[in-house]
Amino acid sequence: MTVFVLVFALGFTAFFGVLFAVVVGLRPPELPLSVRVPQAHANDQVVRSAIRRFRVSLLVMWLVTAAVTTVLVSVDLPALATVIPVLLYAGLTILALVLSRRLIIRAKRQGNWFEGVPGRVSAQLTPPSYRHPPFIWAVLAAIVLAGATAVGVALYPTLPDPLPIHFTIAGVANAWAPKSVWSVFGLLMIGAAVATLLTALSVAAARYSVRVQPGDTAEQAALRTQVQRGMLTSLLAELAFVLALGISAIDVTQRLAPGARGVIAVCVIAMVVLIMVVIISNVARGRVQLRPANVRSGENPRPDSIDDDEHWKGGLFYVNRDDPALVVPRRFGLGWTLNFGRPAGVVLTITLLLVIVGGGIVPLLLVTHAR
Amino acid sequence: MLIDIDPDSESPLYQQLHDQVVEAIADGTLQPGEALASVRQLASQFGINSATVGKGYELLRQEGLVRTSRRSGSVVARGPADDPTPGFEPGWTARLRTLLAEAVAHGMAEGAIRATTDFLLTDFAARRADPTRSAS
Repeated sequence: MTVFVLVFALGFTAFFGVLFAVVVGLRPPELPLSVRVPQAHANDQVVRSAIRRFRVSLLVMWLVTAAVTTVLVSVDLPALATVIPVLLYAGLTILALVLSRRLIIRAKRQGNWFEGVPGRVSAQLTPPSYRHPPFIWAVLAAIVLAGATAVGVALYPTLPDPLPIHFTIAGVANAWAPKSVWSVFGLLMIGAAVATLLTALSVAAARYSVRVQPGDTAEQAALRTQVQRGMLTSLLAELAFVLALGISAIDVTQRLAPGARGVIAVCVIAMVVLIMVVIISNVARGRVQLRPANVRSGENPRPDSIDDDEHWKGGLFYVNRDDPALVVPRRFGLGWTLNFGRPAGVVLTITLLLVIVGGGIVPLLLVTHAR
Repeated sequence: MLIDIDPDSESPLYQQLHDQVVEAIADGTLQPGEALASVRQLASQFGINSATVGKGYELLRQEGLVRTSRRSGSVVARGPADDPTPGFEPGWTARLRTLLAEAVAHGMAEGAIRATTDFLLTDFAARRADPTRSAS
């Protein structure tokens, strides 16, 4: 158990550390560490050393997290050791980002980098063609979930009532629920809902408008749109399948061998590994495809963007009342972030938080109630 | 096609948008029937108020250069090869009169004014004939 906790916490944080170290290189050269800089300064010594400093801090912070995790495990607090390292590393990563990007911000302010630089905001007037998301993953997810449902239906008459829904480490049932469609198929319903949501997001990602990066030519902007849309749609579609597969596998093992903790642990680890494979492979492929979009030719210089740092709090949170976009591409990391300058953005964030907190609390209440 | 606006310019943003679309139609970058991004998409990409982009599109619609339908969204309504827009000339002549008066008032020689006009018209035509030159 303790080894599992250590591997989980350290593996999880190491994965995000490596992801952030890679993602820093993925961003357009004019947005190092989420600071807007003119093209003329994109490759300055201070920018390069700030990025190096961030990457080194990621490693140092991970070692700190590893030390804390080891202490938590050795004083026999494995339950805390799964949550605290992740939260700690998330906090330390933000700290590393804030401290490293300060170098660039200071140099930019002192050197008046944007003084006399004509600023432009660009957009694609003719939208790039729409490509369908890969529906094959949604079909496969539906097949896998249907298969698991079929197993549940076939075994339903033989299942005990009340149904054991929680087990101790030794595999002894310690929580029960009355046998019903909800207690037998609840997990699969959650799986179907998650897969549907991810598929819907992948369909939305196929249409999302990518902001033109300063320095992009029309072809580069079109390529950036196609690659980013393609990367996000296939990532989300594949994740829908992986989650459906993992949840179906857990559900089937629950039906066939109730209380077999080892099998569930294997399923969870396999699911996490598959999720990482999906993320890394999509990001790596996108990175290769994006290469031509990041080439800057000196012949036909494109105007710089305006300095919009004021709308990005800490380089992470976007707050702009004038911007109609509710969802904007992140400056740091992958995917999107919400515009907190719009009431809908705030409402959506609160809803998401409630869903996450509710998703954690409701099952707990159900289990206690069933006792 | 990319469109650039300068938030620090004295010229209003909707005017900048309008002017670039007109130029793109004149030099063949935008062809009749070509689909344009919706007001919302464009405003979201620029990160500016939708009303500003809407005003630019409205101006282009009034001039008959763009048409918007519920089914196909906004498309380029006409090109240089189409028949002249009815009733267009008087208003344009009045504006050209002001522009020419400005040049004269600032002491530009008549020959220089004619040469500039010729150059610009030839340039539009050349870009229409050879689309690779129209990369703006």
